[in-house]
Amino acid sequence: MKLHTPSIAIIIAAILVWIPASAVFAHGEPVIRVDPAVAAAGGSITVIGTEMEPGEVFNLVLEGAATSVSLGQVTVEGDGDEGGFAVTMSIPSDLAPGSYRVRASTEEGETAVADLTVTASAAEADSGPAMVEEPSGEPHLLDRTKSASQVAGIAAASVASAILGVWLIRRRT
Amino acid sequence: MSAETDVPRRASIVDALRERLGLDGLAYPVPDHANTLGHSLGGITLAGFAILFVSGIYLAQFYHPHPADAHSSVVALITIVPFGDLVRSVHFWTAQIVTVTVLLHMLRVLFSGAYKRPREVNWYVGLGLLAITLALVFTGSVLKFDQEGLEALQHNNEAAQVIGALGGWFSAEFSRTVPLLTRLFDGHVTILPLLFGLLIVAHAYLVKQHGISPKVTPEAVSRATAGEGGSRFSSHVARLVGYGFLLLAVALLFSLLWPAPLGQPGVAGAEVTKPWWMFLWLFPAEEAWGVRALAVVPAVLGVLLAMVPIVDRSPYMSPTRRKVLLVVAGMLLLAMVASGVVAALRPAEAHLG
Repeated sequence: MKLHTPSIAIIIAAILVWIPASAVFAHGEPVIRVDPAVAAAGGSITVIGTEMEPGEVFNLVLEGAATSVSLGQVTVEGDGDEGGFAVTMSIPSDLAPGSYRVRASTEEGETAVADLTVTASAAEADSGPAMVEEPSGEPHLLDRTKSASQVAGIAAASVASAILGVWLIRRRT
Repeated sequence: MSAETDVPRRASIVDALRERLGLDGLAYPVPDHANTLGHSLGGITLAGFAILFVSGIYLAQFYHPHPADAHSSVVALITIVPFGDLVRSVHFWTAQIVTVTVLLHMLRVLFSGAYKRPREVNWYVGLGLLAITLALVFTGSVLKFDQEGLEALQHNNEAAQVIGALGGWFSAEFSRTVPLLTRLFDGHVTILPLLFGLLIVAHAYLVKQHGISPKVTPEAVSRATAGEGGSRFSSHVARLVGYGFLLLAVALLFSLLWPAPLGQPGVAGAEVTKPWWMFLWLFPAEEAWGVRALAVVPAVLGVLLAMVPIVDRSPYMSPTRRKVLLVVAGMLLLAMVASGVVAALRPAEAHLG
């Protein structure tokens, strides 16, 4: 039976639908996650590593846009081919709030990263992870008032654009 | 400089540009009915995209596509960046209007039979452009990363899982070094605009090759009309630019009256908002059939639209000669509108699975 291109495409698509994405994109590489993903400066986080070989030594580094802080080393534990680690570490109390990455890497070049958001409040740091707010569908209230000149400028631009548009539509060429 | 010398010089500059840019080549004939509003909807959509590209470039200078910073960068855009609130609102309202015009354009083509031979391929190119437009709207709604955006991202992830490896790009497993939000931003500003550019060139090329579809009369049959007509394409383009300025005027006015909304920072795992109107109609289906509906229902709709030129192969364009297809299409459209109204009237929590 001769298969045409559309039939082949449909068969390939059907096969792909039944294969989980995680199976296709499984890297066979080390994975880490950070718990909690949002923490205050001066607080502590737990870095959990999986899919690693027992005995490997990972350097943990906290990377930001303008800074890089070493968090220390950790050795992978486990039996056979599967190993991992779970280590609790402190975030420097003088670290600026913002987006960071925790990078775990070996001297052989294996690397895994996880996102970490650092908040500012020292009080929150003392009491543990930052508290997550209640979800809300309400609008974010911001001061969006515009000066009279801004309103007049936007209105004038709107009217000018409308006049130009009508002229272009109605003119005879 | 005297007025006598100014006019000839200006005229000579126009003539020089006309010669060097080959602008006379744009003055080829097009039918008079090409200049009606119904036949200008595609061009109006394209003019809207021009506004979206320009305003989007400005917004991208200040938006931070990282989950931890996205929402706060949008807040800064609104409150600190010069013209940030206005440009973001124009971007938002233009996207809403463009979604309306692209849907009306598709319905005009469907109901006037403009997909028939020899324009079948352009129908499929148009469906691709519709899908890209909706993908741009969806990714754009996620980027602000408020509660509604985060919930849209969660639904995106669930729907991606339904289609297995085909949805792999939308999964966290695809890249362990770049957050999904950042990759959706990449899609919004690079991948989707590139695909849009390629398809819109193909769309315009095929319109040029086949000409504007004939005016619908009881006896009209579909055929190529390139080179026919009492109007000029250059005049048609001038009108489309005019409609573009009208669209900008409306977007500016709406931006002044109703600035683009922004919700509270998103909290993962919660469902307390409703999606934008163009996706709202899917939610009753999600309630009935689960998250699978988010992938299956649009796919089924896409297949039905793709089958239109295959099912309706008669050359006649008049709606009276295509009653069955149009009644089915009308019923589907009514069902979608009714589904959207039901979802809009119910409390936000009601769509939870």
